[in-house]
Amino acid sequence: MRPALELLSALSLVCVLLCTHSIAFASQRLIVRFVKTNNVNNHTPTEQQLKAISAASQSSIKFVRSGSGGNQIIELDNDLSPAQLEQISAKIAQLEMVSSVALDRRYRAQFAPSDPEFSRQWYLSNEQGGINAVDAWDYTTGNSNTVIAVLDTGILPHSDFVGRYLQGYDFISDLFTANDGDGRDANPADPGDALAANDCEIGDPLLDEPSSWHGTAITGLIAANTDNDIGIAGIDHRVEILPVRVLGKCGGYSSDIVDAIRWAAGMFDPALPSVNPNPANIINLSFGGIGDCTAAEQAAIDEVTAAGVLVVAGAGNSEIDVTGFAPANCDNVLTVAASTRQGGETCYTNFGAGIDISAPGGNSDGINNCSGGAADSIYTTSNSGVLGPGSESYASYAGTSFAAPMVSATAALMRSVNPALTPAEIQAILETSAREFPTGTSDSYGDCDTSRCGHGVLDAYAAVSATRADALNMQGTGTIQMSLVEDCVLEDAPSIDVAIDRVSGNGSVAANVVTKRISATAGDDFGAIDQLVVWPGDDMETKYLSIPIYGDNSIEGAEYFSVEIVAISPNANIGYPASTRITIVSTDGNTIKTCAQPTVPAPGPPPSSGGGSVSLFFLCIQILLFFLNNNCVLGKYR
Amino acid sequence: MKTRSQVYRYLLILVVLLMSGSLFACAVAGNTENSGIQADSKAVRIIIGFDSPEVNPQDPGIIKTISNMLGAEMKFVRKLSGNAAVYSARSQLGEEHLITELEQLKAITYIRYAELDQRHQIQAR
Repeated sequence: MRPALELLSALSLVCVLLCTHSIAFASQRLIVRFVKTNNVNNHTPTEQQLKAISAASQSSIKFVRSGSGGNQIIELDNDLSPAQLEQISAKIAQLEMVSSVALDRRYRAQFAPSDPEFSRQWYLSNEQGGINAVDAWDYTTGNSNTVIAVLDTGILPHSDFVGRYLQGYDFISDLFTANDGDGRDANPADPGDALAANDCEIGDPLLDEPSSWHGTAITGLIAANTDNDIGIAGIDHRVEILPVRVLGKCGGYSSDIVDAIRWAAGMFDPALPSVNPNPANIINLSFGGIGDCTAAEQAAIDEVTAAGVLVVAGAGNSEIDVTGFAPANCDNVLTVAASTRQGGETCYTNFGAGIDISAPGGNSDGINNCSGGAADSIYTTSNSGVLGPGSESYASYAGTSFAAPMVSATAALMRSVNPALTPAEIQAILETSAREFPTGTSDSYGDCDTSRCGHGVLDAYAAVSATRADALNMQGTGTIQMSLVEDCVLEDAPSIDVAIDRVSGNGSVAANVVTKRISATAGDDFGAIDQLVVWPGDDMETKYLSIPIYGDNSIEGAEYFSVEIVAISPNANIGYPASTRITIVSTDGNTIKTCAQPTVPAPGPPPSSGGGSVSLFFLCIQILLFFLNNNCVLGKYR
Repeated sequence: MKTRSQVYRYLLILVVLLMSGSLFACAVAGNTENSGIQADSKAVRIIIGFDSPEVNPQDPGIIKTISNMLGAEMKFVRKLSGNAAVYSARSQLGEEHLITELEQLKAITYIRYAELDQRHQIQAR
């Protein structure tokens, strides 16, 4: 009996320690420097100093260690968001005994996809002229529920975007333009738009031109599969592309485009084919021409915008004021100019007060006073065919055609964070989060400014961050909680889905859900997430987050991590359980490779915060009860 | 009684007439959207928006009115979403000629707008 009691005591102590330091493995730490006394840095803070820190942070704390230069590493014992940590740091910094406070940030290697041509995609990086997509991927890589309609020359299959496009439509009604032997049909395949000299009219084109594969290029830019050891990385890793063919030889008719816009948005009209089963959330228009926005175009754009669809258009390459270029000059269109690798104005882009934002369009071809070359252009998917389709390939492009899809894809990333965003809200966030135009650009027509190039250079990370911050300020009410206390997955599974419930309330709310290490390691055993989950309006549906699981060949015991709600909209509550503990069961060298049934939440009053500590406390109780009830174990120690 | 050569002559004339008639019939049948035979891509096209779905854009009277106002014979190409339709000029017309005339079409009560069916191009260099 005595050994059993000793075992229970040890377990109790372990549980107590774990519960009081419930976030020891995922703590938030500060680097504090105290004012020197007698010209000496204290190497260990005094009890008085630690009490003062604890009082200022309204949290129990633990002294971790002394660092170099008088740094004292102190750990807070609460689950705090970065914003809350910043506030507490500011309070601690006001203490007379403290000379400085800083967050003990955890740095990690930036996600670098395995796509072999990723190094050519300067436009995705945080270079001066890049869109900072790589940092945005820390928060979201997109959502397959978002659809971007690419109204363009059509599409050709490519191994770099397998599984990423839907059944589209070919709206070209004119045989010569269509170049595919028929008019409208359900086949959006691109047959090529090559031209012989004078094909369009006398002098247009002057010389023969090969096929552009324009639609294929734009599709890859938005949606190339990422981290798949093939080609390039897409900006949005999950969005679905709806290919809608409207351009062929000599471009395309506005009348076809107008129909395509309505169809892409899922509208019904007797003049349209059957209703599109995959309505688009975003429509990308990388084309245009000199002229006014026509009444037909404006009517279609107004209708789809009223239905909640964002329309994005390239500003055009005519070096004119964009007010004279359609459809970029239409109302309710997010108009995108092209910027250079250094963030300056490209030599070709249209400009003016009608521009909303700039995004990389490539520095062009180095001719006609335009600087640049292939290295500064936009590298993306293409086809090797000169007239008709050949084999899949990659190519460098330039033009406002390629600036627009960068904005479309970023808007899709934003929607994956908050699907309730309206077109106006997306545009507002993109504009306010745009990066200030750099000065002194040497690869440009000139430095951009807001009178010519819009609100700034597209910054996907800033846009996604701003979307998160706005969502967490939603004013709805309700209780949000994890669906399970515990769950389990075999290590050879690709992922595990965790469910988050909204059990009450109304109005839009959001919750920030993160993974936290217990004994499993993020990056080695599971994929870390830090995501926002949004319930728009009175949505009460359970939301699911998919967490990648990484297996290995090590013979090891079970490992654990947690998925926790760490922040929530100001008028909402975190319920019980606030976290789910995930067990990863090793499948190497084990004869038993199963998971027990997941544990449903235990009844009890939901706390408003600190749910992580409470759930771990109940877990400890369950462990103790297991040993109390397990007669075999007690028998062994009897 | 006709000689063999006369019979052959009459047969030849009959065959020629039949072939001519077939060609004429094909030309008159015209090109329609639904049949998959498309209008001449280089003909000027216009879009006319109507103020009501009850207006039949294929009505011969409406087409005649439009043609008279534009000073050119127009033919119906197809319906367009949003209570509109596309027409093309049977003869080669300059766009400049049409732009002024299109403004006058807007005076017709059942016409909401009348404009050129513009062409747009990819914006890649």
